[in-house]
Amino acid sequence: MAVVEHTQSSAMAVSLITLLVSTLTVASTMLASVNEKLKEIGIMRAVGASNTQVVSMLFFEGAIIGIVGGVIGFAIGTVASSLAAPFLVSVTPSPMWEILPLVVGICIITGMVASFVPARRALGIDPAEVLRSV
Amino acid sequence: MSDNLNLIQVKDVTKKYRLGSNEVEILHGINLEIMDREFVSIMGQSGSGKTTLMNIIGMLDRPTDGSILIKDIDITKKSQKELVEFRRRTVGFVFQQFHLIPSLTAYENVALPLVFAGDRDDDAVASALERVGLAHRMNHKPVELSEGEQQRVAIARAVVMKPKILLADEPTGALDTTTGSMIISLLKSLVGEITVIMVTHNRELAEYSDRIVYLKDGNIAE
Repeated sequence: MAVVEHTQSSAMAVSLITLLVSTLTVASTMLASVNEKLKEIGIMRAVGASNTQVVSMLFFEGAIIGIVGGVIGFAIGTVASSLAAPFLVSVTPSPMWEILPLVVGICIITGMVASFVPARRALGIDPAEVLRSV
Repeated sequence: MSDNLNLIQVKDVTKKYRLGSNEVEILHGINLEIMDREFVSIMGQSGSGKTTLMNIIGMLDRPTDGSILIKDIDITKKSQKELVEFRRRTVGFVFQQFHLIPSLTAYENVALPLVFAGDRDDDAVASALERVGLAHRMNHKPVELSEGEQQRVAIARAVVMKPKILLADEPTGALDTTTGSMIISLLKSLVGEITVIMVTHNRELAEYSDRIVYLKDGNIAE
């Protein structure tokens, strides 16, 4: 029983670390995306995009990355656990479809949280400066 | 009702930039008045402050000192939210490098200001593209268009909201002479409805306008 509890808490710790790494990865991807899109964000600001609209676009992009990443991760995890099943003792892995909505929800929130820093960066863009330098 | 025929009044506008530890003054107390539906060219050497002045008139940039009055209203006192509305409805920008969004079609690029303003109007987009002679190219992406066509799409995007002022920064700078002349003729054809301010190096093209304003070292030398 102690072994099972120990395994469960280890798995939870690994999950939390994975979530943190995922958040940082999405944040890094989003930041790179903002840097690549400096010109486009400058154009959008020049043709009338408000700060709210620019930030909403970035949060939406973060949420989409989160959903896609979450679904792909869930699929890979399910396949990997079924492949690992023959090597496990006293545990029979099976897909937990009931937690898929929760996984997607967490991934959406992760994607949006990760978009916060890039969004701040986007709001700091001076359209005149960006459009002059490209 | 105001009797003032001037649409734009630039009053004592100064612009300073910080470059490292130095402060550089680009514009030194500029005063300029532009009438409604006038076509004005701003000429000057590189670094004379032409683009800076144009960006300040369009409030893409704020002056360090001085004010910009549009129909007697000082827009430099407006909040960020009000300036977004000003950029949506009162000014249209045309840039030397066109600045279209590469992943969007010509139609979608022209529709962008309407989308941001929440005024989706397919007829306005079609009409703007027709006006620049590109209705048949509306589903093409910028990469599939010639440079002259890209600039015409940029002009359609700038006028789709029917702004009062069109600000064109070297609109022919990336084009050959023939295409450049076509673009200027297109701008000239808009003057009955819109005030056009064009920044250019090209004296010949500037002659198309009603008035030429010369900037030298951040001062007007009209």
